[in-house]
Amino acid sequence: MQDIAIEVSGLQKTYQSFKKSETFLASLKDFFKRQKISTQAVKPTTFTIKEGEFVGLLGMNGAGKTTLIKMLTGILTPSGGSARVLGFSPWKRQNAYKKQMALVMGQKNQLWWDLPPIDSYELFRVMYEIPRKRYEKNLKELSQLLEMEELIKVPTRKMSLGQRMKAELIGALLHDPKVLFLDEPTIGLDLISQRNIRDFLKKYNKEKGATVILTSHYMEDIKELCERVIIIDKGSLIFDNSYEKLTEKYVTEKKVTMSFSKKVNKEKLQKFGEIQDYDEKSASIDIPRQGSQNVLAGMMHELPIEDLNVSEASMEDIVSDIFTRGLKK
Amino acid sequence: MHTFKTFLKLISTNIKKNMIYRANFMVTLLGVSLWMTMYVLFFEVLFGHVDSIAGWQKGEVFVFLAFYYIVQGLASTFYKEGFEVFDRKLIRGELDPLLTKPVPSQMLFFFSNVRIDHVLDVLLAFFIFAYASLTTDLSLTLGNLALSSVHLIASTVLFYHLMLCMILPVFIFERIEVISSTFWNVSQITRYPRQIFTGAGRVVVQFIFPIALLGAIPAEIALGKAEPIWSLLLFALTFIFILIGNASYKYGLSLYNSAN
Repeated sequence: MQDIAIEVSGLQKTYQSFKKSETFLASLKDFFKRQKISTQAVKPTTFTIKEGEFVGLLGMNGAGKTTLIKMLTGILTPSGGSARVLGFSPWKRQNAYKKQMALVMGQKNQLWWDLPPIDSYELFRVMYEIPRKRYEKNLKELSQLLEMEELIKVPTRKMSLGQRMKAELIGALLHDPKVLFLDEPTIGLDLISQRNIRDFLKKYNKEKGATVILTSHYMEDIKELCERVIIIDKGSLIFDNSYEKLTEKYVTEKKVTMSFSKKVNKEKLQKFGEIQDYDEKSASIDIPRQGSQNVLAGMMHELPIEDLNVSEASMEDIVSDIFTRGLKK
Repeated sequence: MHTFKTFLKLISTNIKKNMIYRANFMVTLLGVSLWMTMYVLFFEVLFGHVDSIAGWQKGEVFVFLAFYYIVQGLASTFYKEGFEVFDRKLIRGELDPLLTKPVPSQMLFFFSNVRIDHVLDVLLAFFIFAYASLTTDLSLTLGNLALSSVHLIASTVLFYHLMLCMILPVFIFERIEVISSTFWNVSQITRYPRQIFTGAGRVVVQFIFPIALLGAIPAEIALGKAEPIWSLLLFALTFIFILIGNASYKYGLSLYNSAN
């Protein structure tokens, strides 16, 4: 049985801020008397993550994903609840914990801007007390895997965004962290770089057995990498299960796009499903996911189909649907 | 030991960074030299008219000045810029990655902007020292100089922790852009002998916010002018401000809200 890597119970975070007025006079009034606002960025949240799991954290901007990650990495002190990561309370900021975890933030640099990454890595070697041999082995392996052998000697400021993210990943993994927090690691990257990073993370998780928590705006990242998805909306955890369960539960339709060898009446199509797009020689309809095989067989039998394509809703569509329509009970 | 090793590595990495910008290094050298020459000239002119200032002869003032520049030079080299950029880093959430590293976060916050070009301040202070020895009838003993060096270290530690105490309001109010520069400007009173202050001001700069002791006590010890009680006071205040500075920093850190 796998051990528990992360245990979160009723964890919450409330920020205090001030109401800002729009007009000049009101701003002047605010200068002397301010109206305090409390924002609950993370409402009491409970979940556990097993060692070696690859978990995707999904949510709209401002949903509370990053706040949750910051509490688990010890950057923020929570307003309530508890969390244990590898048996440590993160916000106590013990070195023994910090040496076993790593955080990569897509929008924040850890490497020295003016120096080549190799200099930052050397600093990390001393900081994390990595034995020289292990450091050299890890550096060689990681830079080969990410095709960065030569680039780690080039100043960070001269790298492209994708190269920089790869360099950040190398720096974060040199000390073999048991838990890896990735906050939007593919943000702003082109498709090829996204794919490279994704492939690398998949391989790394498989080979090293590290627990990985990933937040991303790119659903493809989550779909490809995460065996489990946690969805957060307005600070509350609203879904926690596998990607398959997510589609099973929330994808009720399949999209069928087809072209015909001769004209087909709209009425003839309507009995198969909901028409989304139609002209006499082509159409796109949504059919129920359940029993779709029979519906498709019927279509093939009754319609003069020349070409046919069946697709499921993309991860983006599913999640956007959940956020706009809410969870189905 | 681990922290010390990391500190040394941090400094050497900083030196590498500083080496990249040679022109910056040269311009700082020129600026510091001009500034110190001007200051020495100012005192030459002043002592052309008076024999002493608050009981300090010309040679003694130069020794005092040299100690002041050593304390300021060490602060400018190691941590001044770290404090200056702190509020900006705090607002932008740039402290986040540093908080996850297994070393004291203070070291990464304040010692990651080492300005090796300011070592020149310290080197030029030795020139002032040499100038004073050659142009005045100073008599300094090796014993006193060694003792004053120990006090100089205490002064630099005290200076750091006084700055650390000033950081707490930045954690509370998040944006106080002027706090480091104001503190730095206030710290300029270190360049004057503590005896020139009178009344409540003297109590404040010697005991409550002991900025006037930083250069004065090591200089007085080097010149054999200090009573032992002042030496004890410097160490006691250094210890007290280490405690206050670290406690306020720890409290400040618990208020840290980061940024998205």
